[in-house]
Amino acid sequence: MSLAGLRTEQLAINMGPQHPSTHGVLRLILTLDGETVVDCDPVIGYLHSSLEKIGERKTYKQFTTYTDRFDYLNALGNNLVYVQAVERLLGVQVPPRCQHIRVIMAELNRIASHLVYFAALGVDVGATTVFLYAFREREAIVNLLEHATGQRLLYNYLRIGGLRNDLPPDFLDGLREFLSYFPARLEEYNNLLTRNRIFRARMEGLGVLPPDKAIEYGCTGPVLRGSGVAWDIRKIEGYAAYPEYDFDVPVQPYGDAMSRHLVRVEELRQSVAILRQAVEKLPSGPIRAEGVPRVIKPPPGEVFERVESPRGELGCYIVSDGTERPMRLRWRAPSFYNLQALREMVRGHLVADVVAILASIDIVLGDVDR
Amino acid sequence: MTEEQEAIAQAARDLLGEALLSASVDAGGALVLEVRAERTLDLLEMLRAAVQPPVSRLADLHGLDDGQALAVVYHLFRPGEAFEVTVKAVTPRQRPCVPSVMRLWKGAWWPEREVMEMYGIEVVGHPDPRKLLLPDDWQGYPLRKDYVYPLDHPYLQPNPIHENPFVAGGGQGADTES
Amino acid sequence: MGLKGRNLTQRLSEEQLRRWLDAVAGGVAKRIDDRRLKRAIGEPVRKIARRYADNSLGVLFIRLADEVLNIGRACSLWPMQFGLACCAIEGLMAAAASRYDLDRFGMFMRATPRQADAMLVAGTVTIKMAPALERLYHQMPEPRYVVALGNCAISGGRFYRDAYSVAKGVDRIIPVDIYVPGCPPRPEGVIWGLLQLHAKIRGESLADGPCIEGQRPQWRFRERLKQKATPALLRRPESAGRPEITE
Repeated sequence: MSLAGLRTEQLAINMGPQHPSTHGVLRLILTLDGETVVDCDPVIGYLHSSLEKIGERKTYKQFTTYTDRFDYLNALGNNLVYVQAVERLLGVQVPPRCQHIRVIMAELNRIASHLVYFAALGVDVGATTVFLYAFREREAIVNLLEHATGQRLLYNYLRIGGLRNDLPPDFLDGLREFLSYFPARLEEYNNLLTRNRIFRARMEGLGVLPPDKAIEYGCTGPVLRGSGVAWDIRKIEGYAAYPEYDFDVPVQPYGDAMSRHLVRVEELRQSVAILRQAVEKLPSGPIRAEGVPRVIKPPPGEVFERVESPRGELGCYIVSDGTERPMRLRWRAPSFYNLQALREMVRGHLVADVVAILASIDIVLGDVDR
Repeated sequence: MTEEQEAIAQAARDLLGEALLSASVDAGGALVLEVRAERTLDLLEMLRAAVQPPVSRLADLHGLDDGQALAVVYHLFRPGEAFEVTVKAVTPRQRPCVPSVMRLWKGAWWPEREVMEMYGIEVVGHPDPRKLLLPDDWQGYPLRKDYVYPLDHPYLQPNPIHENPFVAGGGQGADTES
Repeated sequence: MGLKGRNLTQRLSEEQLRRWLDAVAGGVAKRIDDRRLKRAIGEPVRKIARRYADNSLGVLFIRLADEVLNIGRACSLWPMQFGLACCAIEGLMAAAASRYDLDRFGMFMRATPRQADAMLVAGTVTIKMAPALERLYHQMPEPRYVVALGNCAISGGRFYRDAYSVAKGVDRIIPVDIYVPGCPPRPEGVIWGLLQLHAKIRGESLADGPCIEGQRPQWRFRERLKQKATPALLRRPESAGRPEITE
């Protein structure tokens, strides 16, 4: 029987909202022609926790603890963008030690988040060993952060006008020790993944996103830098002592899943470089700004503050009407915009590739759904 | 306001006349232009084309409710730079509607769906007006200031043993009044 | 560009899709009813166990059978990973990783509910997710256990007061056996909760009555419980021999 006269139809299948890929509750409605994906419709909202409405009902100080929960793998980065936005509304300048400690915390969090990316990517693509290795490294970082902040995941360490507490005396020694063995471990991951022939065959050429489409969809972070556009908010905006550090912004030209992976591997190396400089450069001094009132009532106004999270451009827009609660609090979530481009990326690929592409975008559903 | 921002505000005033409601600078130093919703696309196209170098990257799109009027806010940046222009398309509460900017940026696909379901602002010309974050049968527009919490939902009723310590006389329904 | 809604999935709303799937698969689900199975097999076993339970030899035999079966079930509990939010990273992934190894307790994460014994609900349960959660619970074969991991699953957690879309606790949707507090709970806390679940399982008996949803069987052999578990947590007033306190 020849296949030429065979009439085929398109099949719509449902992936999620509970599926073994560890990215969270995302539902994909895939339209398939045989095994090839013709269209993909992500359905989100299964983790919508009405955080923007909560932002209008809590005071500025109370909301700091809710900011961790948006992109829970980058809790300190979330704290940072919110706290910076409120400080800009109040017109408060934080002292230099605080700025440098914020950089240290943000970079440690970036490393931890990229390690979870490795772990989830390994589990999705089939290389389960990487999950155990990445979590071993993450335990080391999380121990350091727990020593400084008291929490393992949702730190709530940054405060409006400063930090909750100063770093404990042996934090820097622990950090130096971590930095001494981490680059060798990074080479281990490269041997397991990036130089692995099977992994490369799996990820190269997958989910190509041209740079103009990436900019149009609002993609930022490694998704954009993997497509050849070298935008990094740490360089563009220069917030929180980043201008004093010397680091590169990794860029890869091809726009496929392997490029995004290589960008993240290189970002890990750059984060290590920043932390090495920070350990030397950390000045002494106070960690809280003077003159931050006990009840925070910023003057009427608005501000849009951006930082670079491991997923992209994280923004916080606050409109203040002079009372102690914000009038509007909007979270510009990077994963929300990156996930829109999934539709462009999966056309023509197989179903197993959809999982790999989703892993390479590295979304966190707390950000997408807020 | 810097000279460049002054020039952009003047160009907007020339283009729109009295449809430009205000031009100011926010706490972060960005230019904020408030415009009537009907003329939004003209202003956005002007920023993309007529201003040199163009302010053509859409970073965020969301809604805003300040108690009086509803608005849709667009945060536009110069690509690769920190220069920002915030455009607020103001629309009245009675029949709020705003034109879709999807033909300028495909990245407005999901944010406009979110604005439609959270504020009830009708985005005219959007090809996909389904709900995004809320269940399909949700009633009401949650992010509006006059939203009434659906306390009769079985999963949302507060636990009857809880006295609300912040409101005298506590009890059901009291935890949504502040 | 495909956004005109030409394809099937976009023209159907989520409600309609769910109803359509129910119509196709619901018939199958109704035919395999495990209550009928329980009644056919469980009742004779229970009758025999109850008849010999007060006989000293019978007690030894039944206790032995109970112990073997319960250890077998508890020490190879296969949870269905139901990681929703932040608790999934700490409570599921970090607890299953090499430092706080869950595999040494015999726990092997299953992706599908059909092969799972326990459901670890880790994270915020929203109203949109609740029907999916309930369906997955009903897809698990009995005996099944539910562990509410983290504050959001216990009571809505930090979203109890002002959230319009978060269910105030997963026990409004499905019956829960163990509550593990924390935001997120430490992996050691998760392991503590799972060991409490072990104790709960090992306290079950062949002579117990049918398992009604939400009420675990009364523990008949309470001596073991006093040795193994935290008394304050698991002791039920009526089975400890204390008088009923009536107001």
